[in-house]
Amino acid sequence: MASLKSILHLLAEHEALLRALHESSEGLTASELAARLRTREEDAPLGPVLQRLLELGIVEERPGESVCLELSLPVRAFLGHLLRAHELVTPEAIRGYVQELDGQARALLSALAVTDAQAAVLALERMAAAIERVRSYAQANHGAILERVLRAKAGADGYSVRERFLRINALWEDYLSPLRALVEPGDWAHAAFDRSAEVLAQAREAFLLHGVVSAACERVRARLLRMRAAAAACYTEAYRELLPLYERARRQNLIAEGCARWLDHYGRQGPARLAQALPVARVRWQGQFSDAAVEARLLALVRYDPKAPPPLAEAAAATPAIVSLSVLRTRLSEALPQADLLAWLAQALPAAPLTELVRAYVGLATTLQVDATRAAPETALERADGRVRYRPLPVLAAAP
Amino acid sequence: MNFDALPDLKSVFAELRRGMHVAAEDGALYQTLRQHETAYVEFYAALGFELVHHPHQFFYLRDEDRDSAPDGMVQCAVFMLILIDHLQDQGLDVETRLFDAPFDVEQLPHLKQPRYQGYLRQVRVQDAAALENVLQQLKRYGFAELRGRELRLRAPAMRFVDLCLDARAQLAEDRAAPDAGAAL
Repeated sequence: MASLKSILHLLAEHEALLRALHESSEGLTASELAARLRTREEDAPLGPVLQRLLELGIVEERPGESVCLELSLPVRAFLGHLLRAHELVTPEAIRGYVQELDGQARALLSALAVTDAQAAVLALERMAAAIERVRSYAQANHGAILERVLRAKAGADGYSVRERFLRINALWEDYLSPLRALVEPGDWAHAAFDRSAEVLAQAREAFLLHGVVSAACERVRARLLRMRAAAAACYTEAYRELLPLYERARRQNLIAEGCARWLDHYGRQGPARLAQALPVARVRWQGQFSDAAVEARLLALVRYDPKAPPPLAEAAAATPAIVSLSVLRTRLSEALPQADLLAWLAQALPAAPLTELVRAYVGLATTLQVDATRAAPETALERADGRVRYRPLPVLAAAP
Repeated sequence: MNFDALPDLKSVFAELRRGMHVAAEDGALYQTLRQHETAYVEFYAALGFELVHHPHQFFYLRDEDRDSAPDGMVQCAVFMLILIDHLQDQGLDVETRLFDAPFDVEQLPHLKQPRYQGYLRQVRVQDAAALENVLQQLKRYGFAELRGRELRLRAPAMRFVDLCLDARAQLAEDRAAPDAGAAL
């Protein structure tokens, strides 16, 4: 078996390799390792080194994938401790050791009842181990939380706003909040520590004549006190560091989510709701012109100089050209019979345009008693606005 | 109460009535409102307005009879929502980035992405000239300052951050709508 010194020497020689494996939580293949080590200018042949590390149990093959290597768990924890790269410990793991402590306190109480020094020593040893585990886990969580807080504060975590919030929320909910049980009076872990302290005090008194047991009780009590002080300090500091970040991340997440909601709503349904959500006064006085364009228009109206209307003499030519059929019908009925309806109309309306003349002709011809049986010879009517060729239509009488 | 005794009544109202947000950096006007806040609140309440003093140190006026913002204000809101969306897409701390440093007008994302262009089209902003007009609106309402080609947001722009924070409550009724639409 290799000596500790030679193993530590081997580890020191291959620090870059160990760091690369430690940084990778999923493990690395030999070629990936080789690539990483090349960038760190480590040229030693990799195969024999990896083989030696496998033999010593420093690295292991990932289950089911012999080409992929990872650090064995104890070595990973050891390196993490040395590199201060803490990993989060689940609250369930801490709970397990607190329950173990509680159970061993009960065992100590039983040993005390029958004054069994052997059983008491055994229970005390197990209590000490459980206490140190709880202290170690509380400190590890504290370190891990601070590490993540610092990365997030520096913006070096590379996460989006949403991802960062989810991760910080998970830290808060899954790791920090359960630690409260260690320091909150009345909570399950705090109550277990109180019970253990009580049992230790009783055992010390009861085993005063057994110096070894009594001294062991005192040492375990000191460990319990140290663990409680450390857990309280870890919780308080982690809480103080994480709370502002948690609040900040939560607010950022709400802003991001709210912005997305508004844009989504606005994109689908337009700006009406947005307008309702941002009330602001905008007062305009009625009758007061505040707009430059309106003012300019008003001034233009004031300065408007209308043109004189055309002379009346010119306007005479533009008398209304509308012809009343009823007036014409009355006049025609007084002059019946007529041999040529259009000729009579032309004489009755000397200034009317040709279109009005034809309209009147059609209007009258359909409402009078005319003689359309004989075809008269074609004739023509000359007007200022045109010439009409037609056959005369005799009118005999008004319509019956 | 004798409202004639209120200092700077005319100049304060001249600013507030056109939708201006008076911030601490506006100096005398803000201080006048701050020192005589109660009297001003009563004065505007008598006229049917609500004088709002925002926790981020600015005042603005709400018209109790008016239930929607003017078009210019809506354009400002769309502009700001796009800016916030863009900043959070980049993983930045939105509030810090909004208020700690100015924005280069030429680098604004508004006309550079089809999605943002679509939002702007809905409020009749389709080109750089129209966007420039929105920047002027931001200035007119007191949300921003324009120094050359730099846009610096003022404290009143917090109203748009508040808008996002209140989105859940404001759009609570809308929550069921997308599902209904999706079923069609």
